[in-house]
Amino acid sequence: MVRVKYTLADLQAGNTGTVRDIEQSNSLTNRLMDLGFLPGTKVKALCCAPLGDPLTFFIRGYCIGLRKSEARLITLDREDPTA
Amino acid sequence: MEGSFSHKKVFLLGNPNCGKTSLFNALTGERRHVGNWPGVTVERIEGGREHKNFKLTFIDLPGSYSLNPFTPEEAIALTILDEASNGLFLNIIDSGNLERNLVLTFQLLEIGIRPILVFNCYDELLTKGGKINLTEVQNQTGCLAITTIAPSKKGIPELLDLIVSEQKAENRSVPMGLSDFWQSAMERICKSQGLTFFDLSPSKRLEAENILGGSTEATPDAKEIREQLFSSLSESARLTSHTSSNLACFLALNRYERIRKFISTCLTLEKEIKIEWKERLDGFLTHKIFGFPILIALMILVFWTTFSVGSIPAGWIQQALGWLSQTGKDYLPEGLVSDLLINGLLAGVGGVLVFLPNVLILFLWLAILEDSGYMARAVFLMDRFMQTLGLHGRAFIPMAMSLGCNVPAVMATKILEDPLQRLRVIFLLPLVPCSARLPVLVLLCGAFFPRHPSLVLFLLYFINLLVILILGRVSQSLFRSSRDSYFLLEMPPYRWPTPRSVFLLLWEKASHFVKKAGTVILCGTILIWFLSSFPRTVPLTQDFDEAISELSKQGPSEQIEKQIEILASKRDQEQLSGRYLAKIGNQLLPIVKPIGFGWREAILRFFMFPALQPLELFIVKVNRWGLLLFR
Repeated sequence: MVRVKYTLADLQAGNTGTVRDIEQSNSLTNRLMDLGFLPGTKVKALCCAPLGDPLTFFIRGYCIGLRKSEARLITLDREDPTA
Repeated sequence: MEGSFSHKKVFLLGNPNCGKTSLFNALTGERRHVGNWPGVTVERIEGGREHKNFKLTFIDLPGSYSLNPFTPEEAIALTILDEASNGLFLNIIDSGNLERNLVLTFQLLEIGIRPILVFNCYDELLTKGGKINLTEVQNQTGCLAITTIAPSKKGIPELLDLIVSEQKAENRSVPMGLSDFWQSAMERICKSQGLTFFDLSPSKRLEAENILGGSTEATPDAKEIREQLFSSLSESARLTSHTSSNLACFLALNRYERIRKFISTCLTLEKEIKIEWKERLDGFLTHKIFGFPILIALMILVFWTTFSVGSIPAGWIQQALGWLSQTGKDYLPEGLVSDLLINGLLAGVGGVLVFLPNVLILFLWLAILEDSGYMARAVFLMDRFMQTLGLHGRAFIPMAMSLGCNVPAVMATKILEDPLQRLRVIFLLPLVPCSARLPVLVLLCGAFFPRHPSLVLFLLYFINLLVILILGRVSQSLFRSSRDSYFLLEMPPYRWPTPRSVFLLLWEKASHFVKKAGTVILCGTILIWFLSSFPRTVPLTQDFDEAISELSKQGPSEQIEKQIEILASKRDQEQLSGRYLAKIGNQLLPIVKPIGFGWREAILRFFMFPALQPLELFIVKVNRWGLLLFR
């Protein structure tokens, strides 16, 4: 079975996920980590813009907008689908 | 004695949109522009004030999320670290958003800077049901701390007292720096380079931290230290479920962990109060279906009020000017002085003042949209669409402003982080049909296409949009930025625009406008008047005046009156072509001839520049280099 990466971009609006890891090769990585996107952090997806991109997220008490391409840098823990 | 003032430099550092600029205004009494979106301040701005025998210089730095610079503006904040260690740091913290704001604070502490901690926007924390224990903050960090509410100036006098009493920003011992683990690794890194951590300046310490975090190239020695640290960190992290793949991530995790501990001891949340209307409002304004219509409706409202409501007081000003010039003509003896006053000054300066109401209404709306936090949402909504133009969503704001007037729009391009993109937007802006072009277009459409004027007008706008689209794409492929462009925009909480800040902004704009009209425009109009009135005597091909008087002796008839008219206009033309203005125009002729202009058009374009002046074209420092193209 091919394991598809489950990223922040896949998180449905209204749902909360936990950050597993963050892609390191990108120059954006450091900024995202400073902004609090770190392993173990809970992130809630708020909504997406009318044209489907960008998305807004609630993290550590504030709200931030990310493009899908940016959200894909952040992998989430796979939640138990039955939970 | 009056000369016994001591000087102190105070640097303001904090996250974007934490209220730094409004605090700066409150501290200095200046009226800098503030707005509820990240990135209003893009350069270092200085202001002064005296307090208790101290001359204080405040330096407002662009907001930065951390000491790892990501934008050119954040890099500005970094360049002053060492300069500032001889002065004083104010670290402004948005109390409503403690956790993320403290990242910068903790980084400062790590490299041995001891700022005064200013918990701004304290009212927002209070309404959320929170409270900060300042004594605990001071005990833990070794920093002086204070709470403020900048717009209402609460806590400002106390803050000034603190600034005067505080001695130095730098503190050799680090009261609340890195965890021991990291600290010893950092000291070893310095040692491997033959340096001692505690003797280093803040910026050097930051360099060491960057080597440790892996963002800077490391020597073999440093690499070994890093590997050791990494393996021991991974070892201990194995106990928890979350681990990470590199040191920078461990460092950030460690920092957030220290912040969490700090907040748990210093912040008391009696009961968490959620502000529901804000969430509902956000859901509505960025709604999948309603989002765009609301945005368009708001834009229409802004431009409609700017031009229709604004034309009412503009009419009054025009009437007043007309009355003034008529009374001037009636009471002043004809001659050079009255000519200068009426045709030079009143026409020139007055012609600019007429636009004041429109400008003010436009800026009133922009202030409201900015202060409330809606601008960030507009950027969010438009980002996908702007990307088809090869632009960032932020470019929407100058583009929309440009429908009103291109010039303030050029100033608004400062919100674009990437300088190359800034320049591209500036190039595209003149293509956006501004409001002044609309009446001209309406006139032309009516004259040339009497059957379907409005259809043609619409087509013109549509073709215009297409041209912008194409040029946007072309310019994108020609000038590909070396830096990747990111969205990454904080959505600020909705805030009620305070009447005070809106009023201050309008006052600033109005006084600026009038000042420009009174200085640059005044000089410009006098210059133009002089050039078009001198030399007084111009050699004419024939004596027109005598010819006219002879003709008028022949008695009134329609034919003769026509002849007189022709002669008079010929005389005026010949006179004008002998004046200095025409001579300059003829000098400019070779430049404009290829496009089919005569000397009149050359002069017109030459003197268009002073007309744009009040709208600050020349002082657009926003675009440090893009500007040069406009001069």
